[in-house]
Amino acid sequence: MATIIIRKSDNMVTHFALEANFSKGYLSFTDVNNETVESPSVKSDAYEIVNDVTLPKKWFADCFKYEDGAYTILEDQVAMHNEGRKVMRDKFNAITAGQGDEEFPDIEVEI
Amino acid sequence: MANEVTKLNGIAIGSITNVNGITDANLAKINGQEFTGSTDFQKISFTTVDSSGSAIGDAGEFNTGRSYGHSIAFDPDTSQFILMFSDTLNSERPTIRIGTVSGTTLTFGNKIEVETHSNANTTGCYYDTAKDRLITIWMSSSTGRNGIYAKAFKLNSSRGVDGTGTLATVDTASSGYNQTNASNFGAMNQNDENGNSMVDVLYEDGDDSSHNYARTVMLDDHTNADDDASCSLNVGSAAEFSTDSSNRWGIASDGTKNCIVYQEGSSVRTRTIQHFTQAISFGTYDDLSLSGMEMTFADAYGGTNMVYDPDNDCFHVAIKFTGSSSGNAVNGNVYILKVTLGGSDDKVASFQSIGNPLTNLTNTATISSGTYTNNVTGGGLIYSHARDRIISHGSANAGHSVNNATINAEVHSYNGSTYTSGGSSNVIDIETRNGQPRGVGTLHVDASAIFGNVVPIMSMLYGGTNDGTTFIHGIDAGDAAIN
Repeated sequence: MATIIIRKSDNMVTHFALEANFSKGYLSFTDVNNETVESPSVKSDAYEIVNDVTLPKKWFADCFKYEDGAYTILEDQVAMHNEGRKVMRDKFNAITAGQGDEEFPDIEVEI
Repeated sequence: MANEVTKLNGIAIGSITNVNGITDANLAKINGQEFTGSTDFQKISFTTVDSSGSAIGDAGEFNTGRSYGHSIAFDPDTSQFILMFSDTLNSERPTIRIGTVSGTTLTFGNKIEVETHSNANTTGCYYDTAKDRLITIWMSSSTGRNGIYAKAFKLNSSRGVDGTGTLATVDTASSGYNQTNASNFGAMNQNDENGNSMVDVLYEDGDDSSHNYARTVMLDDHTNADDDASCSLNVGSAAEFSTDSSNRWGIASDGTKNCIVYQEGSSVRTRTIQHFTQAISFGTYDDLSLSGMEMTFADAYGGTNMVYDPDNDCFHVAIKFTGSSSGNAVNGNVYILKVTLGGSDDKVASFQSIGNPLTNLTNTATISSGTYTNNVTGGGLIYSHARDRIISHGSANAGHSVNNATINAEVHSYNGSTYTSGGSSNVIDIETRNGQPRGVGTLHVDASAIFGNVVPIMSMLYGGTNDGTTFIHGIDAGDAAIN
C-alpha cells in the first residue's frame, strides 16, 4: 500500500508517496524510489495525508481527485498539463527533429 | 597525458631555478616537453551519497529518476552547493538538493520540493551573497501558460533550509505561452550600481509576440532571522530587450553589471542591464555586424552561451556562424569571442574587433567540431577561475546511434588578446553512457573554494539503456600547456 497527499479544499491529489508525515511542521515524504523529499510549503492546515491507498496505475500531480476511497481523473487538468507540454515539445522538436525520442510526451493517467 | 620530464641534462627538475634567465615559475616547457606535475585537462568522477552515506543511484547520480532543467549555485557562507532540477519522481516539480564536497565525494541532503507546480522543466538557482539567501526560479508548463515563478530560501549548514519564502510570480501569460532559454535563464548581480543585489530573469513573453524581456527578482528587506519572513521577494516591471522570437540569448554577470548577448533578427547584439532600484533599462547595444551569426550553440538542452572571465575582466560568448564560408568564417562553426564593458559606470557592452573584413574573425577561438557537430546535448561555456581557462562542452553522435551521444569538452585559454584552443585531438569525453544527454547545468560563479580546481557539470540521460540516469561530473581545465 502507498500514501497520497490531498489538498483539503478540493480533494485534489498533489503527491504520490510510499510514506508521509508532517512531523517537521511541513510535509516530508518518501517518494516511489524510496528517497526522502521535504516540502516546506505544504502544511497540514491545507493538506491531508491519506495512508493505505493503492496508487493509480499512471499518475501525475493534480490530475486526480480522491473522495470516499476512490480516484476520479480530472480531465481538464490533464488537458491543461498537456497543452503546456505540447508547447515545450514543439519548441524542442523544432530544434532536435530526428534526434531521438520526442521530449515532453503527453502525460498519461490511469486509475 | 602531460609529458613527465624529471631531469634536464642530468639535473633534477626541482633543482633548476632558471633557464637562460627565465625563472622556473615562468618556464612551462622546453622543446615542447612539459615539467612533471602539470595537470592535464580531464574529467573528474564524483561519488554521490546521501546524508547517511548511502550511494544515490549509480555513481555520480544526484537523483534516481529523470530530471530536467538543471542549474547549480554555490553558497560561500556555508560552503555548500545547490543543484536545482525538475524531479520526475515527483510530477516534475522544481526541486533543490544541497550538497557538500569532500575530495571527490559529494554528500547530499534530502530533496527539497521548491513549490507544488508540476511540469517545471526549466530552472535557475542563484545565491545572493549579500543577503545570504538562495533565489530559485522556474518555468512551469502547468500554470500561468509557462508561468515563471521565484522563491527564496535561507539555507542552514546541514544541507537543508531554515527559511522558505512565499511564492513570487515573475511573469505569466494569458494568450500565448512564455518561453525561456534553459541555462541562460538569468544571472545574479551581487552589487549593482545602487548597491543592491538581484537576479535578472530573461524570458520570451507569450503575450507580446514572443518578444524577449527581462525582469528583476530581489529579496525584500529582511532580517537575519532564519525564518520564512526573511525570504520574501519583489519582482520588478518587465523591460523588452529584443523583438526576436527565438528566445536565444546569453547572460552573465561580472559581479556588478549583468551583460546580455542576444539575437535580434539576423543580428547578434550585446548590451548591459542597468537597474533603477528594480526597474530595468538597457545600455546602448553593440551589433556584431557579421550576418549569419546565431546564438544557437546551447540549443536545445545545453549550457551557458556566455561566461565572465574575472582574470581578464571580460565576457566570452559562443556564437555559431551560419553564413556562407568566407575567410576564417566557416559555415556551421562555433566561435568564442570577447565582450567587454566600458564607458561611464561600465554601461556600454562592446564586442571585440573581429577584423576587416569581419569574416576574418580575428582573435577568436573556434570550438572543435567534435563538440558541436550533430550536437544532441546543446553546447555551453564554463569558466574555470582556478585554472584561468574556458571550457566549451557539447556533444557528438557521429558514428553513434542517437541514443549514444557523448558529452565532451574542449579547453581554451585567453591571454587578454588571443585565444588558444586544445583542438579536436584534445577533446575529452565527459559522459559516454548510452542515452541522449538532456539539460546541462553548470556554475556561473567561481566555486573553487569548495571544488578546488574542478568545475561541476550536471545533466541527465534521456532514452537509451540508461534512461533517467542523472549525473554530476567534474572537469579540471588543467594547467598543462594547451597545444
